[in-house]
Amino acid sequence: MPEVNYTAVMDITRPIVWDFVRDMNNWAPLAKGYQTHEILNDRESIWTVKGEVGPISRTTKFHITITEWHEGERVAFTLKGLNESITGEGAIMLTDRGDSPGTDIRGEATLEFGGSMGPVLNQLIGPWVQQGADELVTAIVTTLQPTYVRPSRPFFLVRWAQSAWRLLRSGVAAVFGSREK
Amino acid sequence: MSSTVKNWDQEVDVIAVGSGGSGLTAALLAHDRGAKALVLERSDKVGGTTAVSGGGLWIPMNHLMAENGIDDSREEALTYCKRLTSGRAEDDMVETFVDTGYKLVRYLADNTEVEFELSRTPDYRADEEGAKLGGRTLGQQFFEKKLLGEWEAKLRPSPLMFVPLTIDEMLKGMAKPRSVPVDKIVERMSKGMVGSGNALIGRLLKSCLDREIEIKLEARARQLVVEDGRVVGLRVESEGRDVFIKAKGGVVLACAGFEWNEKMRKQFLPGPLTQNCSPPYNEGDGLTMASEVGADLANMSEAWVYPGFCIPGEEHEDRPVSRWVIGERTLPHTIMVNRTGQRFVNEGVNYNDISKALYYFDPNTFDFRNLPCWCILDSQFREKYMLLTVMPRDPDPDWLSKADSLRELAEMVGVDPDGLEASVARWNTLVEQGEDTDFGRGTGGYERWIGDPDAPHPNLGPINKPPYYALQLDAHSAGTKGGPRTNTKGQVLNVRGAVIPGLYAAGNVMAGVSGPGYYGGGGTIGLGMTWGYISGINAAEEAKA
Repeated sequence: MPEVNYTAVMDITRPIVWDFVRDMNNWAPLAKGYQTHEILNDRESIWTVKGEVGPISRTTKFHITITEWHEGERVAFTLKGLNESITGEGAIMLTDRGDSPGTDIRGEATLEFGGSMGPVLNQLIGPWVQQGADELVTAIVTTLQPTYVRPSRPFFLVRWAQSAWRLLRSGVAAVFGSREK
Repeated sequence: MSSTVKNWDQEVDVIAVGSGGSGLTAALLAHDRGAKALVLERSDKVGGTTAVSGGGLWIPMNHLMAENGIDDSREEALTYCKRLTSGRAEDDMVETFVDTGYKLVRYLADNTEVEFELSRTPDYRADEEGAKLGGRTLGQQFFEKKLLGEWEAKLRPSPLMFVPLTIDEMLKGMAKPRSVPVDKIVERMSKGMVGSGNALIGRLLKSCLDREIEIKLEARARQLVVEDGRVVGLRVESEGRDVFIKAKGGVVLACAGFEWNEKMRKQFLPGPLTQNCSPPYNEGDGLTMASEVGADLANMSEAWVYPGFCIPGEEHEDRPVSRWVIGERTLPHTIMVNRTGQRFVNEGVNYNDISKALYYFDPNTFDFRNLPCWCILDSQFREKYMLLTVMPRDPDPDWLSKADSLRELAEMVGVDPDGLEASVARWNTLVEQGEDTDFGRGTGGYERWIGDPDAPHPNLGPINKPPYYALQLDAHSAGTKGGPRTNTKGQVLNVRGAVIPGLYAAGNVMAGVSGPGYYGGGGTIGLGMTWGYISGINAAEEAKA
């Protein structure tokens, strides 16, 4: 089954971000393929989403159930297709940035088609789910921080490069000392 | 357009207008005969209708038949083909097709990346004299898309055939869903393999790229340029301006039909079309250009029509996806009825022929009595067979009408309840007797082949176990098959029957060589590519003259 995640860093403190994320009405319309949603109660909702399976897009209704609620930190949910044999789960997590003010926001999702053709359809839906995670997290960030610029390369490559550069700098400094007089 | 072109933007020997199977074949053959060939494609993707098709070619006497021990002969092929054309195609054209198609197949197999695979699908009218119970339909070996390099992204995706299956796997899977090789499909997909029309176009495209044949995308041919009565080139819309391209040998129109042109449909076709499975660029560009220079037209009332259904909410490039209804009307435990609740045809005949019944115009009610129509199925069908995209154990989709009684179902979908109950009662009696004496369901070789081999009868089964289901069908098309008449060299003829020098046609743009008939699976592409082969060769020869 496709399992995807995407992380972005924000210059906004976690309580502000949480205040936005805690209300589904704020971010549901930002989801990729979003059409409508209907809140049933404080844990359950019905979403209508237009998703892509290969070259075809399909409008699917999902029953979303919030399964975890850690105030200020994490909301997790499951989803079940109402007109398609499809299940999944997801989560949005917030953590304070360690080295500077701000928040890391991370979105995770898995989606799986059931039925005998499920293995085939799961091959096709992966790219859409990944893009969905990327776009949702980015949209949340951009809404709260309009100046946010999405990294042009996959985030993990940027973080790898940043880490490598820090290591190199510290290594050079250790050998040659600081250039400052 | 009489030539006032003083400065041509480009000069080549042969221009193929359209990048489907016919156009790419014309360009390949022209190139291989020493001509400088150019392909013009109106859209931003290569492949046309061929790319979104099953990718089969119907070619009698092909060499794979002999390799697989299947006999065929010119006499049998001609007898069969001429029967189906019903006198509406010239004999010499049919003979040319029969005498050339297998040469096309041999040439492509020996000289290009194309790799054929024999299908066991019977000819569509398998019980006619000269028909074969398999072998004349050729599918494609799977193709690894990444071999196209940067052109991979330019291959037109198929909304229906994107799962890599052979023709036989696809057709047999309808009756035997468990036979669908899911593990093999996943493996093929993980390797980036495609099948069907994408495989055919992928291989033709690779062959063109290997030969460095230029393919211009987003270049729409708009008008033929004529000089002293000869077609010498084209006015093309490209990058927001007119570009004039000279063709020393000739222009091969291979830009499909007019199924997306509402005005032309109303002018020429005998009935309505609700949706098409072809790309939306088939708006009669070739027909317009050819008519403008005096081309004679024929077969204009014909199209490759099939009973189809669009799953609500399912789209490709923001258009509803047209789905072919085959097993749903052919397998046991299903019938088709019109709004009066009556059957009107053998539901198992091939899609092209069943469309004749869809287009029946009732002089009493003064309308198309059988449009829309409905497949009426019961839970026995649902438990055993695929229904469009739904497997037997999947939940009933909300786009499928469902009720616990036939009467309730009829009222739900707008069919006369008394008529439906009577028709189903009659059907069940015929099934019990083992013979459909009303319409002959289950008597044809083709329908029996795609029926259920494990059922008491491959196509007959009672409809008596609720819940009952109804699927509304409308007339959809894979393209039109009327247009400019050509001769056996692919040259377009004017209204006096004379050749229009420098102008050729191939594929759905031209007057179809099968008349109202459909020879078998791949009947469109087989004809189209054969004429692409012929046109490419002859246009290249003209360039040398």
